[in-house]
Amino acid sequence: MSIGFYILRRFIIFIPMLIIISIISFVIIQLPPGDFLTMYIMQLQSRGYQLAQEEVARLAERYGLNDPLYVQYFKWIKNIILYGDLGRSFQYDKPVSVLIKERIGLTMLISICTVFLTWIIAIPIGIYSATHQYSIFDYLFTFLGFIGVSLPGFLIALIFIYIGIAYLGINITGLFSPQFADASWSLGKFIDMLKHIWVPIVVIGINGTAGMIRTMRGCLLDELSKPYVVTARAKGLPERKLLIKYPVRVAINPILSTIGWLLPGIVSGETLAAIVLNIPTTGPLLLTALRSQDMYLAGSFILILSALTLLGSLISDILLAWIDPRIRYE
Amino acid sequence: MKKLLVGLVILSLVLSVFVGFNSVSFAQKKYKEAPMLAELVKAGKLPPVEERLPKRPKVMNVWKEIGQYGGTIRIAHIGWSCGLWQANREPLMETYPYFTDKVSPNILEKLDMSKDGKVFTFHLREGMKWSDGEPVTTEDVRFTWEDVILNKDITPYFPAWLTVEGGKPTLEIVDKYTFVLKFPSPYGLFPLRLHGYDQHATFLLPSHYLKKFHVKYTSLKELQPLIKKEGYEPNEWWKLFNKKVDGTIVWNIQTADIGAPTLSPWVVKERPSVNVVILERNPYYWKVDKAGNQLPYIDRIRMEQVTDAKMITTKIISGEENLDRINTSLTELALYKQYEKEKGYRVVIMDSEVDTWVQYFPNLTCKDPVLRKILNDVRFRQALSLAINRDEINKTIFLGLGKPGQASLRKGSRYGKDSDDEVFIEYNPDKANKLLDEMGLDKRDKDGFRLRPDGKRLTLPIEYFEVNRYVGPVTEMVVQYWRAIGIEATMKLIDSTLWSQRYAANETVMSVWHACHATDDVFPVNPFWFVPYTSPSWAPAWQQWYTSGGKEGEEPPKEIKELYKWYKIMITTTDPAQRIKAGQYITRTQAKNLYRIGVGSCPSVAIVGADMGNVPDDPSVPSLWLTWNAEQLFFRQK
Repeated sequence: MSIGFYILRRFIIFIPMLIIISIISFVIIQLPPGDFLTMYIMQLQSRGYQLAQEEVARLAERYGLNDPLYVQYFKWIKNIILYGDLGRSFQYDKPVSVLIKERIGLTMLISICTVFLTWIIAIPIGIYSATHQYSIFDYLFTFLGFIGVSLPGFLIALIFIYIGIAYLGINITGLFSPQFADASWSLGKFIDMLKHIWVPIVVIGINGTAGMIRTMRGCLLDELSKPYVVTARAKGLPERKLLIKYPVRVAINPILSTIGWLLPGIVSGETLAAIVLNIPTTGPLLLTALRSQDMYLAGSFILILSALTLLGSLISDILLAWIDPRIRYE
Repeated sequence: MKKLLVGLVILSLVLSVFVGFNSVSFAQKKYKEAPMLAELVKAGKLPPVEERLPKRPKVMNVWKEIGQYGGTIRIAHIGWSCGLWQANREPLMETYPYFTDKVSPNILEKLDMSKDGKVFTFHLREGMKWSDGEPVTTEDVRFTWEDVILNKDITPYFPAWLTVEGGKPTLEIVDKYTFVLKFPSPYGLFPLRLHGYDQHATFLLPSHYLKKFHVKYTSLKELQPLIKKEGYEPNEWWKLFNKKVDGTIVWNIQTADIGAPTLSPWVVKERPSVNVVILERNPYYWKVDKAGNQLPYIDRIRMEQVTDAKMITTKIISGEENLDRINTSLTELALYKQYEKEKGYRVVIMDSEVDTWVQYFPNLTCKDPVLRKILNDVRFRQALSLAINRDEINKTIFLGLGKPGQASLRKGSRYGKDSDDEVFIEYNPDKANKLLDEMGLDKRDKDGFRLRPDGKRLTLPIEYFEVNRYVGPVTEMVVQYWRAIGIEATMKLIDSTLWSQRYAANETVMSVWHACHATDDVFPVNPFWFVPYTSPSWAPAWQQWYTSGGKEGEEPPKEIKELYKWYKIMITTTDPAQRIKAGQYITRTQAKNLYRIGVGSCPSVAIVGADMGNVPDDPSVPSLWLTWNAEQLFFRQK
């Protein structure tokens, strides 16, 4: 089977999958009691503001919340298919596309930097640990790796914030110092951002890096004891060339197959760490949308992430096939 | 000689004209303005301050001293709860002194009420202008009334607060600055109602701006691209229009549009990033201080939305904020104090505008008939109140800074008695046990819990959501107190939407809230904690009966009907003495019946810049005062 046909077939499967995902996510968002309006009324009431009955009725009509669920769903889906219109967010009173566009740049910047940082650190260390098994450095990296795997990112973020305030007297949250926060882009602002952006990158990257070191080490160790490595070595292949050309290429498979998960991750960002570090990425946006039952914002976002997951797994499969000739399209 | 005389007369005339001119120009010079505006005037970009202010501006009583211009308020919020929305709120009428029921003009220059309380004559301030320099006239009123309120597309439901017995009022425009509203029956509370949250918008919208989005003035064809851009269905122009109306209401920072005309002290200037809004002074703001300085004193407000409430604490202790009263917490007081000097802010202990931060209210119309009978027995509610150790709660949760008290109105209210606060607040479990025994709840099961008359264990499920940060920890203690007198109290934290659904379905048994609307300016308008006419209340089924006009819900007993009667008197009467009598009757029933069981008040912590002036140094002033009167706050310039 040709690769072109394979990709086409995968794309055709996407369509029913996306429809199912959209229905499920739309229903799940509606599952909690009440809707956006009840949430909104309760928020106002707890602030001491009574919303008049006629105002409630007016808002329900404005948001289309009086329609039955399936009508709301079809309206939403119709606009996405016909006009590419993702609907409006109730909470922000803005089109969903505008809200996502506002935040996507920063989110992708942080995510992509994190991914590269993870790979740059994890793959060489993983290789080193595997080739120097049970050496002092292997034990050291193993020790650090386990800490990295077991500590959640937001906790590391909290520790950073604490050290910043208690010992350095600075607030490391956010992406800019106060004097640059509202300024338009300049070299100074860019440098200022670089001073701050490493915190979220390190915090978000630390789990992934540690995990990847472990995976890389484990897989490579499996490969190193295989007969083809011994054969290659017996043939007198230089150690470095042998390592990179054969066992590493095989050991990297698990990492490549997770590229599919990276794609939605790049768009949604790391939610918990972003909340703790007060970074306006898309993750916190999705979380508040879910909490306040802002259904078109939440639904559209989940739909986008699902589409990206599907696309990502396709990319993973293609990459795997390309790197590892043993994999076939069947 | 004659010539000389004529000459003298002419000279004196000329002189007098000069003198006259001088006095006029002197009169015009009496107003001062912020340096940033003076520069714009000099550059010819803005008319002089005399032309920007109305003929007779509103003179504001500042807290203590005449301020200085300049500076930026920096404030953080988490989306919903920004304390600053009150700062930009300008009602038609205000109450002064603040938090009393004495109404005085704000946007309006004068409001006359006829003897029978049916006819209200509104006088706008001559020469008052929207923030873009366009005059405020009765054309705005006519537009708002005819084309917005009476337009069925924009306002499908006529506002209930404008409806009295006999129907809607009629509007009559007298001249450019005067209009009359005639109600079919008396509405004595109307002037105080005009002090409500955004109710200037009910009569005053910037017509010159909004006509651009109204089909009566702009064709649907022209509007279509705008409708499409906002993502509304074609032809739904009223959705676009409503959005633009929201855009003129600056206190709603989520929806306020840049450049939309308002009457607020600050207008939205820019949104430099997704989570930041910058507001700048309204050059046409219509208030001055006693020395003739145009308000506000402070140039700008920077509002930043953060992802979590805890972030605000971080911002406070790193000195990044200089005004906050909403997202502060008494439990963080030590932390605030630790960084106070070093980071250049000041921690101010003020009062809170609510009466008790935690109050328990049973559902008197609850579905379980046995439980309902128990809850409706006043002795049961008295016993619940006596079982609570308020001193211990105060020491544990409120750091000993609070004051134990019953749910009532705030101290010094004209509608309540200060002694109402002390009814059944002593900690007396013996007496509580005795009361319960008297009720016939004296049988207990093997675990020591009391049995109901039908033989089941007496359980009291408390369902609550985190309406404020104190309800959770206080309820944990209260559950133990009630268990100690043999009532199996349980607590369950639920989502606010679930609570409101269960409440509407009459399924709650015991709920928790704070006693808001406890000051004299809002109590007569919204006494819902005392009279069950809207949610939340302690009797959902009676409330339904009342709002549906007897069609739904359950008919309440006589004493509740009496309560509704006095509530109505409070709204309609034109006689202040009668209104106070009605209010006192209403608060009296609470003190007698303990429909709600209060725990106590606690102060509110405000964070202000170290150099901020006109911050009330009186701990009895509610912290709401700060944001309410933000236009008179200022920074001492070096």
